[in-house]
Amino acid sequence: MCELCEKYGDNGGRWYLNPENYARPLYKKVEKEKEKEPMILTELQGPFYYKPLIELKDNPEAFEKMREGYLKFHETMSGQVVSLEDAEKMVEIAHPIARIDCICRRITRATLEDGEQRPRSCLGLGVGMFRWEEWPERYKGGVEFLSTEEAKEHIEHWHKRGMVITIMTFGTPYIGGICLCDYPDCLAIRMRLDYGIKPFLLKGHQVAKVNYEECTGCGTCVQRCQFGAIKMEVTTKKSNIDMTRCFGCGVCTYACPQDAISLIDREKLPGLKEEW
Amino acid sequence: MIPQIEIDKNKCPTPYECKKCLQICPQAIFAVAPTKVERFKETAPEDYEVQAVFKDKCVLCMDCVKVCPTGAIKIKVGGR
Amino acid sequence: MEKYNFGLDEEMVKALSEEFAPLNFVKTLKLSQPHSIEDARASLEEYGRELARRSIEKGEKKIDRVYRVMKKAMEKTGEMKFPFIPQRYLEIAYLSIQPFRRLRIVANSSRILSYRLNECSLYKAIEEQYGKKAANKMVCKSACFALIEEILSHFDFDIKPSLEASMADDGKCQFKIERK
Ligand code: SF4
Ligand code: SF4
Ligand code: SF4
Ligand code: SF4
Ligand code: SF4
Repeated sequence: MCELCEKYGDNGGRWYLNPENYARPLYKKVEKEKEKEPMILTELQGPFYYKPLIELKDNPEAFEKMREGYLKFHETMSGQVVSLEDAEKMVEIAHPIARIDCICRRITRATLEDGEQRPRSCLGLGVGMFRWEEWPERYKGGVEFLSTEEAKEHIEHWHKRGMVITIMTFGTPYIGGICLCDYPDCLAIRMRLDYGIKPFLLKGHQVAKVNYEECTGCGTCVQRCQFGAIKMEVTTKKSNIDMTRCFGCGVCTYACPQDAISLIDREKLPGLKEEW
Repeated sequence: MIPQIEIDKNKCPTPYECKKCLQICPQAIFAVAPTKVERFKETAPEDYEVQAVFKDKCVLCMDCVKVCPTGAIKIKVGGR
Repeated sequence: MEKYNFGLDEEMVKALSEEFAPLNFVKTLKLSQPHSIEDARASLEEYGRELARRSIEKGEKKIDRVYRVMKKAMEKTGEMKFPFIPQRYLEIAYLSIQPFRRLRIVANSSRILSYRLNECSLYKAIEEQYGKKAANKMVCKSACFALIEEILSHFDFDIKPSLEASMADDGKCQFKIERK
């Protein structure tokens, strides 16, 4: 079982479908004026925080040593890939839901997602969103509260265009957001793939499998995988998914015009059920 | 060997507004972020900083050096 | 940007905590006398109901920034009246009479509102005044149920709350308000 489900699931269910992991009070008795939330700074500085680790990349021993500290940190701020189906169940549970600017893209490409061309992609969850005005830098450009249906449309819109749906905790297991991610501008995918910071982004509960009878070898799916798990097998003229690399995001299943790819439960495959 | 990529802060006062290196790098190795965040306040453009972060991925194409309008980026190949 | 106060109005919480001070109220219960348990139950219910009424009355006047933003979000989405309106008034009521700084919310989804109290001033006051045995009869739950039910009915929710864990049996109380 996925370790987050083991610790925070509700009777063997998926941890992110357990309402407890979204629950917070609205108020504190004495709201101290000066109470600092350093998390906000870490989040906004994003990769500055990882820089010392990356600088050690050509010194494997020192790199490994420092990496342990980062792995520990990401037990408090962790994430996982989720399927569209599960994300739609999540927005039935989590409230409020607010459309916000993607913090990663702002950091890595200096793009504020505003306007028609780059509409916003992230969703902030939970009662903390009622206090967004406290941190105008974090929520640059404001927030827009969405109904459950609007949130589903939002997620579907981005997912069908190729974005991976991921969730993020702010103090695990408290789930604070649903992100729509791609490589290389999203830090969670990047830190997991390039530097092995595993708890930052666990694989999802499913994996993709090609039905060779249906696949026509058109190649559409190959370009869509953000994790580099799909190749075209030239000799068989079929696409090939390396299921040990697949994160189970489901992007390829929507891209395939033949409906030849399906998501299956990771835990049904003994060879993959401990692979997160 | 990881290339050394330094950005002269004095020559790059408001990186979030310029953002040329951030957007041209094929390897997306740069990051821009506020150096301070205060409650009830947006960070001023001068309090942003750009840094070369994912340096191990740099392929030394020199596009960033070419595009920088102020010559703020210095890249040293082959080490420390 | 304007500086907002996201906390509850302090004057309001203070006034409520004086009006509903648990120990003063518990002293009027006369739980040590025989046959008084029915009377006690009735006054606990009245206490809970009145605490709900006063919390709503005052809370609707003192609109903090969280409540204002929340109301706007509700208007825009047409959702979230449940759980957040009842949650707000339960928090006002409990923060006024209880020692803790935050009410431990166990779930606040569109279907379930659930919360836990690891300590309780009302229970403690009964224990101090009338002994552990009297406290462990959990007559006090009449106050909590009346509080919850009054808040729910005030905002037109037809839901029956339940007590999932109790101070007497589990050392904590946990309530669950679940929509069908
Ligand atoms: S193979 Fe498909 S499901 Fe797996 S990671 Fe790639 S796009 Fe996602
Ligand atoms: S998109 Fe579908 S049909 Fe085309 S190569 Fe991929 S699996 Fe085969
Ligand atoms: S030299 Fe090329 S790859 Fe390296 S940082 Fe500059 S633009 Fe990026
Ligand atoms: S291109 Fe030069 S001036 Fe512009 S942000 Fe990058 S380093 Fe600064
Ligand atoms: S039912 Fe529980 S929370 Fe309510 S007054 Fe009694 S002990 Fe306190």
